[in-house]
Amino acid sequence: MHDTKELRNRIKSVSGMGKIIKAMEMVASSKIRKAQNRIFEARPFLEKLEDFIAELSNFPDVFENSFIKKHERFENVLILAITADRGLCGGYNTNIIKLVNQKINEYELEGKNVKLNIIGTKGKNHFKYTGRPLNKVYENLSDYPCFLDAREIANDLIMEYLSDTVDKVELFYTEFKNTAEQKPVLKQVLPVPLSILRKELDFKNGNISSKDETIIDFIFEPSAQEVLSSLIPEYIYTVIYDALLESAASETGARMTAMRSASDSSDEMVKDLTRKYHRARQQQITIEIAEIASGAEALK
Amino acid sequence: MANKKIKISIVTPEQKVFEGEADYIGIPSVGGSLGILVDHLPVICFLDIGIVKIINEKEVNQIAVCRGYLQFVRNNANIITESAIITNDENKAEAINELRKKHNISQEITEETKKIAQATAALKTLVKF
Repeated sequence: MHDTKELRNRIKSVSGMGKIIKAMEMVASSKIRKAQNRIFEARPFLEKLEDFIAELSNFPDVFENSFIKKHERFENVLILAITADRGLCGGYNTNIIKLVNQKINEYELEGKNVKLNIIGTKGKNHFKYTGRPLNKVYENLSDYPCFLDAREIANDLIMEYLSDTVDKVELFYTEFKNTAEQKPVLKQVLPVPLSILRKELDFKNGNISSKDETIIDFIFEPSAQEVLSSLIPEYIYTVIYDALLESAASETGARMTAMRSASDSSDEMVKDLTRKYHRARQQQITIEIAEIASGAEALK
Repeated sequence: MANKKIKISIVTPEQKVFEGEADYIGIPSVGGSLGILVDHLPVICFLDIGIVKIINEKEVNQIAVCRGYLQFVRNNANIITESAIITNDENKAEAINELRKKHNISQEITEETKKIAQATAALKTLVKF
């Protein structure tokens, strides 16, 4: 038998918690529209940039570019992982960390050195706890990432790659599919994967016939080489920026879903507790009546 | 000739700044100012900080851009830039200053960067031993 007072207190605290959860859900759902819009607004820029680079891939010395050319040895890997600054967003952080750990283990089994750059407090705390040294940590930008933040992060990666201290840079982020579905993914950043150049090359080799344009002779200002070598860092900035936006949207989406199920279960709990409370109260009344009745009976 | 126009769009990572038609575009390329009229040859150029001037009939639009690229082909001009501010004759100097401040230009990645980065890394390893 439950104590009615205790039950009343529990109902009060659970419904209070439910209100907070509901508020968080509402905040997340208003934020998500904004985050989604930012992804859509960034898309044309990336597409145009890819077009530009594809255009430049007609030049034979493209593959000699220091961003595209692979290092001769492959020993050091730099991993950049994007996590959130705050928790309470379901499996969002756990999923990305799981993927990173899996990849780190793979590389270490192959005898490669792994360096880790982390974005977000949650990731930092996790890897600090497991005792893995972190190369660089960036915090306080998962809420509203700016292009300049992306630029700063990307510049650090580029410097590491150009100075030959790492031979490959990989980016781990969460791809935003819709509010209910987010997927942790991995993308190679440096050396720049050839797939972005391939579009045009396939066409050149006659593999793609649908494109009816001929190769255009562009005038380059100042020169093709210089344009390409400044265009590729720009592409890397944009890739990082895009990943930051996707991750921000995913975080909000994950939080919204998590909070929705939490608020549902808190509603359920309140209902359950209220039922128990009524039953306990009823029982108490029944006992009291029985006592009075038996007392009256005894007096006769 | 009168009905032929250049289609121009200016996009930044954050938004689409401008989209429209033009008779003439003035571009602040790194090699100097570049004027583009209808039926210009295909060109790809690297932009400096400066003003993109777009003239359509009598209407003049001025947009301050910071580092970007122009691709002009078949009367389509695509400009992509890190940031852009729509401005006018009076406060274009201000807009340029703002952009310059926002983008720390010393952080540029150039041909030299690779050499500098390698040298710093070599120095660091020397210091360690």
